[in-house]
Amino acid sequence: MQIKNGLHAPHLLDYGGGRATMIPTKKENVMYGRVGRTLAGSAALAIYLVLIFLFSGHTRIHHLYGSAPGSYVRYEKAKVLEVLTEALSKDNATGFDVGYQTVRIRIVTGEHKGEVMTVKNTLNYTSNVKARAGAEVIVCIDTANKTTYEAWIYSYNRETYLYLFIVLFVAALCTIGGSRGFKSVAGIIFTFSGIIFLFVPLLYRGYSPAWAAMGVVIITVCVTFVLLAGFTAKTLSAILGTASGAVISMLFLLGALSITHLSGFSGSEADTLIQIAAATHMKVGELLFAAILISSLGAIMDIAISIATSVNEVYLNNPSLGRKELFRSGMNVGRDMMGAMANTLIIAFTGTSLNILVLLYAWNVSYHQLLNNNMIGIYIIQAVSGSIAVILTVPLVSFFSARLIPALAPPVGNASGLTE
Amino acid sequence: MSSKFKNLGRLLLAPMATILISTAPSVFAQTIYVPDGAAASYAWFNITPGSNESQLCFSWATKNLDMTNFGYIPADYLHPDSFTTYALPVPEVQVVKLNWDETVSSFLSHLDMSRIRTFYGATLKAYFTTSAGTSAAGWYQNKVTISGLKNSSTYAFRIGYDSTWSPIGTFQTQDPSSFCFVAVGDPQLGAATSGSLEPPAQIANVLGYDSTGWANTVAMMSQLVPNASFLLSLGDEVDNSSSQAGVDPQYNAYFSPMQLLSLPVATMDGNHDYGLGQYYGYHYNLPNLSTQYGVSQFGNDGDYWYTYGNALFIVINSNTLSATTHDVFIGQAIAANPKAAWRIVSFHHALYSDADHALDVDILFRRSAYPAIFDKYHIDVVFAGHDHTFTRTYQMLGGLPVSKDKMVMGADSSVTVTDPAGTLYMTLNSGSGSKFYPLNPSFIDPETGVITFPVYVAHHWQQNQPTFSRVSIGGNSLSIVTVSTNNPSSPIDNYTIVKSSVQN
Repeated sequence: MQIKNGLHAPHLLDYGGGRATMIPTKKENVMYGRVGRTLAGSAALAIYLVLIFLFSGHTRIHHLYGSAPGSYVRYEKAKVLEVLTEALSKDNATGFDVGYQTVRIRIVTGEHKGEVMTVKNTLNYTSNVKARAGAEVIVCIDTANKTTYEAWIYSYNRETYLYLFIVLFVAALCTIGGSRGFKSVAGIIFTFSGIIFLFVPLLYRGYSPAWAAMGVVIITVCVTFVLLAGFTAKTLSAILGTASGAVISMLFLLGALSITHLSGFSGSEADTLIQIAAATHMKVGELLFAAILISSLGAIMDIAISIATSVNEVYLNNPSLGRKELFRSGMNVGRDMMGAMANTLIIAFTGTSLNILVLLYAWNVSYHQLLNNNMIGIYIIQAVSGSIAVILTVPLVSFFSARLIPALAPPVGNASGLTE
Repeated sequence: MSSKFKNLGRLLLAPMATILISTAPSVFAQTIYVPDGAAASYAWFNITPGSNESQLCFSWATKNLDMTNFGYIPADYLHPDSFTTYALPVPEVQVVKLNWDETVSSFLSHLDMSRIRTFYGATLKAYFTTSAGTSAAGWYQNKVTISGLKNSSTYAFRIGYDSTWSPIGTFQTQDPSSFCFVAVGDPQLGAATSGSLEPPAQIANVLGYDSTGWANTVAMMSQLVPNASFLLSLGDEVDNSSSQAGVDPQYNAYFSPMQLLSLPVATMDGNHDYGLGQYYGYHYNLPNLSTQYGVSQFGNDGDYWYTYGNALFIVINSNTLSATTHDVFIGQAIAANPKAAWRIVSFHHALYSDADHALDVDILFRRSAYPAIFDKYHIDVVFAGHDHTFTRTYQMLGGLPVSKDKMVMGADSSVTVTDPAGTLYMTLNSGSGSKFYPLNPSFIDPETGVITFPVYVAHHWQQNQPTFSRVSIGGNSLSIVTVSTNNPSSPIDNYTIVKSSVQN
């Protein structure tokens, strides 16, 4: 294969789902290249995780609870040694065992490690841990001062199973997905940790939730797509399409929330958030915007990569197609998907809003009162802006794909990719 | 030292008598707090129940004082305290028990100085805490506890210092053998924001709206329950927790109803009050306030208790993370009052309500941690607010409803339960009407639309009206009647606990 034009950079390797666009001279180079890249990527991810973890740890958080010095609450692992007494009955309504147990436990971690305590264990609807000798549980150790502390059983110790489930998930993803699966895992870790350790602390530090969310969106999209599909034209198209769809959604959202006088202060958590906002610099009003933007990101990414990949496939199978035909192909794929995607978004939001709709009957609420209720307004705007972003992403990604894929992909055969 | 006061008193006897008589007993009106107001004026005067029915705790704020106005300060009246080491003027309260046929005017016209009892207190410098740090609030708290009060009597009083006195006010004591008190949830002055399905969303003057609602409820309570021994206010007295400039007008509004110049109020630390840091504690003089248990890092917001008649009232600060600290305090309070027939605990964050906060993470934590404590100490009733709705539970034990079979329904929808097991949990609606929460949507079946209350709810009410409850304790029963201010003659709930073991 020969490099036909300067637009083709040597690193634009399409790893899967299509032909290799460049075959290196030695097979070993591919292997070393791949292994090297994986190691470098993993190291980068590890360093990134450490950095953002430190960042979040050094962010000042406003604590809603108070504590006198020397008074604190910790959750520790414990092992049930013996059930001393038991007075349980079967609850008719739920089938739960309810009542009391007196249990001897040994604390396994923390300040009181090794200590054997006798605790009263209550079983009811809120808390229903039936202790059995040998069971591993998590206890809450509540310390009033140095000499006074009490423990009660908080839950079963599920940690081992949860780790196992996660390992199973990763294993399945990697086994069936291969290297793509492994990269998906990396992408999930990146996105998830970014939101928890980077995005939320940024909010506490007073950065605009709107721009922080936009940043999260862009970075997540770039990293996820590049991980999955490499530095290819289709990745670039998907990224550009997603970004522009997100920007349009952002503009619509800003306008819609402003016109309807809705903000982060309109939701049900507003009471607590206002208190946090008073003590930190968090811009509570913009939180709603950030939430809606991030929640529709998944659907936007989904449709973007689908269209970009489809257009890529169409082009690879018929490189003689011009921009207009490619655009039309993208739109055809997109049209089918957009209906399904918009439905997904709206169905997701309807699930919660259904309760409010039900109230329409139960409370004989007037139409005008209900429609202008804050939560209804938020739900509608959330569904519409997400759907608009999805809908507009279709032509945008089609446009970018139609232009970039022929322009940036290496010619296969004799097409230069620039024919109209 | 005290002899010097006696001499001083005798020297001033005649002139003081003249001053007293010539000063027409102008109305003891509440002055509002003004940031740059007069130096010696007082503001935010309020009374709290004393350790028992023969005592009362007074508190009021004064501005930066001109120290030259005040005379000799007896050293033994200076109390070193953890917040300030200032040597400050000593606040005083003078009380006179009026005879049954006597008015303040008639007392003054037949002045007998020996009937006047003087009590001395302490002054604390107030501080406000923000995220930026702690700063002086610009005023001082004056705390005086008066004692030796007789039941069913009228008292005249005045507050002040050596020679600077307020006009004369009055208060009444009641009969603790059969008494009642009133209770409200979240006055939260300044909170008229919209929750879901709540009118009206946009109010031009939020504080004015809340203030009117609060004044109306307090006036109605005083009119309908004129012999109330005190008011129980279940936290979140104010809304703003970010700045002193923002919250002080709300305190003005909260303290402004004139009935609060005579009616003792037992307040507690809500989440909004807690957001003010140590500022909250400087507004109230609380009996048996713990500096060890129930305190947060601010130190002056601990648990407290008081008794009235045969009832023990324990008020805890539910803003603390630890529940064990309240376990210890409740144990101590009960140990100090082993003969109390009724045990009533109050705090802000309701455990068993069914509105906006019912499923909050911190509420679920308290629901796991607190009930075991109340079961352990056989608490009769728990009062709480926070959820801006009215909810009465069944008797609860071990987190489950019990004694349902002992509930007897009367003809007027009242419910009476005799010798029940467990504890009753009451969540009270907003007393001012500043904010209401509707039923939590999670308790509405999405398929059928049927409202399925959580298992612990015996009665729920929310019609977006301020409510208050009258709790009567006497004989061997405790009854709670709750009314809404727009229809007080038709109670929304009426529940009585009868305990045959209680002697009259």
